[in-house]
Amino acid sequence: MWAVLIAPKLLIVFAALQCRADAATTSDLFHRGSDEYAAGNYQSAAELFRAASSPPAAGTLYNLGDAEWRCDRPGPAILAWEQAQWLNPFNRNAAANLRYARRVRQLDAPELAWYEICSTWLPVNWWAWLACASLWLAVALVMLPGILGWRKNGWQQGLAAASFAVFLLTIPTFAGVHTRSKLGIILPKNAPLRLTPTADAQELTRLAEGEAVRLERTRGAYIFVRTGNAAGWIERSQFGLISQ
Amino acid sequence: MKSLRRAWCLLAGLAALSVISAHGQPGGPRAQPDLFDMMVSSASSFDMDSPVQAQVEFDPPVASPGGSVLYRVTVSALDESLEIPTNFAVPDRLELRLGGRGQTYVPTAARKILPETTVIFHAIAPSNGTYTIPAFQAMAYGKPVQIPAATLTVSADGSPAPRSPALLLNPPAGDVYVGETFGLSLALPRAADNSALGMTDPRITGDFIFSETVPVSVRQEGIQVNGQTLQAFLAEVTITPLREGPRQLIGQAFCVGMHPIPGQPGAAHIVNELVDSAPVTLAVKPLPAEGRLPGFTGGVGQFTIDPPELSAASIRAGEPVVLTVTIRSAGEIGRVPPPPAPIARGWQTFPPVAENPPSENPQPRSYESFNYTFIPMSPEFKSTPAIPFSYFDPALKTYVDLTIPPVPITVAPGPVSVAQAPLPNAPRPENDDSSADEKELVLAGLTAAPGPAAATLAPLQQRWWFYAMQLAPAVALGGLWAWDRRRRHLREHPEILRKRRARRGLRRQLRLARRAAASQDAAGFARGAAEALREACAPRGAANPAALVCADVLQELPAAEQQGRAGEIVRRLFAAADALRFGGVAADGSGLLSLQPELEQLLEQLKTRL
Repeated sequence: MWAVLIAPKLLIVFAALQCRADAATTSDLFHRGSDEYAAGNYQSAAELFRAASSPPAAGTLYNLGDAEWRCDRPGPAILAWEQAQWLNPFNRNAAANLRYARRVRQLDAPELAWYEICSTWLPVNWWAWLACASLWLAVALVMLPGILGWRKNGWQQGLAAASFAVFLLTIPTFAGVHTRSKLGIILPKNAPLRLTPTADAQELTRLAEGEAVRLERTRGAYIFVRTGNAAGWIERSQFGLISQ
Repeated sequence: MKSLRRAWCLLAGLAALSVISAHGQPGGPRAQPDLFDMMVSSASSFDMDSPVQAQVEFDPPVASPGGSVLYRVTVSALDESLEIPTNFAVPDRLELRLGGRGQTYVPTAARKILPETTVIFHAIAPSNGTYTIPAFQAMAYGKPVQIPAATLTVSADGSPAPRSPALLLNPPAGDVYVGETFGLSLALPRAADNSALGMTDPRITGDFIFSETVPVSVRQEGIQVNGQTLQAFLAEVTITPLREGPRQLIGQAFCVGMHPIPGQPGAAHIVNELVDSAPVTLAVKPLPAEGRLPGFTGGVGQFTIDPPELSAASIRAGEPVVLTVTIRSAGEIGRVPPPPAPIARGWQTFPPVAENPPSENPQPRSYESFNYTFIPMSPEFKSTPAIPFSYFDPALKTYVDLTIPPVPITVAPGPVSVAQAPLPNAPRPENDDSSADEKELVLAGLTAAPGPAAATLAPLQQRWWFYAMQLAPAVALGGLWAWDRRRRHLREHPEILRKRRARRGLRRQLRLARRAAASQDAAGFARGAAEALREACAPRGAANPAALVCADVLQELPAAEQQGRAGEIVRRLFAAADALRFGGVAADGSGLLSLQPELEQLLEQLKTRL
């Protein structure tokens, strides 16, 4: 009987210790990568940062972008900076590096709709938390006074209205996060954009390394993407999804 | 186009020859007639109907041992359509080496011109004897063409050299680098027997050697050969080696001459035959990887730039201005690409455009001009951005910086829409909260800490547990609502609670009565049965069950049963229970216990009314 009671506690303690060990390993990889970068060993720095980016952290991804850029791999560099921005849009250095890279490589930034632009104001997961918190707060403030027999106050109704308004405002950003999660970056140089999802298909054009495209659907080893002025199939391995 | 040009050259050569013959000045400079007029006036058309014919010959047909011999194959077909195998059967001790190959046009009797392609093979005559190259098959226009057999006789009284003249190709002095454009002299010594009266279509061939196909002017001057001065036709052919390493060059041209007609003393006819040079090996060096400067676009040679010129000295922000840059070369400038437009903050730049659009046959020139279009996005600029440019100097064996300098310009404020437009190239205002690194347009450095980690990059809304988690507040609030609703309902209908309480009490007391009956405890059975009857009848009277007496219970029975068996059972049980309760007298055990089945039936009836 006591084993049944003790086992969950031991499991929790073990999980906590495992998390701390993983964090220590990730932190160690991150600092080793920084040292390698400072020494000019950008290739090994990129490998260390890549290993440290699981689980992903904004700072690690940002440094990974720098190392990839130094290795003359603008596609993976732009993808890493976009992912850092995805997690932490307040990172102005990542935004500056993206502008710098796109200027140097003559690339266009992805065209965002208004609700997608709004969704970049906060980290992506903040919108979800904000939406559910505001919704349930509004519902609770409407229901609880009646259930618990509280006397109705003006501040309760005002707070409920404000919470519901916040929830309504988060709905477009919710959609923006969803559509932005389909954005991706072309990784290799001159990736062929094909008419059909086959290796022998006609090439419509070639996409530049680091170009932003939108994923629309998948078929086998190919994905259908849309750029600013073209749409077609590319190999899945030539595409890096920002939200993955 | 290429074929037409060759036809024009041939016609021009024939016309020049006729002029020379008429005036008795065969050595004079070749005139430059209007080729288009000649073409139009001649109105010649191509002979596409005649069958393809092939001719072969050894030159000389009788050679002395060790002498030089030409094996010439001539097919009346276009060069591009003719395929001659290189592995045809050759007699032993007769080794052939491929030489020049070219196409010309021959006028026919029907006032047409017929393409004719000649391929030359070189050989050294072996010892005395007769050597025959058997007939073999070639392909022209996709159809087989029979190349006839040819016989070479080698004897002591043979000719030591071919009848056709040989071209002289002078290798360049000094080192040659990949991508370097330079000229090579091709010389055709003039023959005293009028067998070489002119030279047309000079070219240099070789693997990875690009030879310009522009018309080359041919001049006549004296050259030194083995210490002797000879009059020769000279042409400067421009070539560009495309790969490093030893490259074999062969010069070729068409020689216009007069050949005597056999059997007709004093008569001659004009011929235009292909001649070539001995192969010359050119050592092409690679460009050094060290010391390469920014703005290197592959230019090899010696270049200078004229002072760049602006289309306007004063413009407004947002307006384009054109910067004209002229690059000059010490010799033929070739195809040197211009330096790319610089990426300058605050400037919108466009790729350079050559004033002379590139063509397949560019005219030989020593300079090239390019136009760069710049658009300043701010009035703060005082000069155009510098354009990095460099070239490799083969004489100095190093890269030379030839950066196009900034040109002063006055930029006035532009329209409001331009000045305020958030263009990516526009300089940021001072109060912009962008980082310092962004303002300088450089790569920002590393961050010192990884920051908080996320489990995954997928957004919360794409994870199932996020939606599952929403069930918690929904269930909590829904439960509260349901509890409140039930509470209100029970407050309005209190009999529900009373009946529920009565059913519960009935079950409890009946259980006690059954247990007492099972243990033959008549007192306990009577007490439990009476309490069970009270519980069953209490809700209808909204009374406390303990306050009910036998009469109260009887009132709850149907009127017909109050005096019947059911009423008797109730009275007996209550009498026994009251006697036990108030008098301490034990009831008649066996009589009471026998009432259990009827009691349970009665309680079941009462229970259905709860």
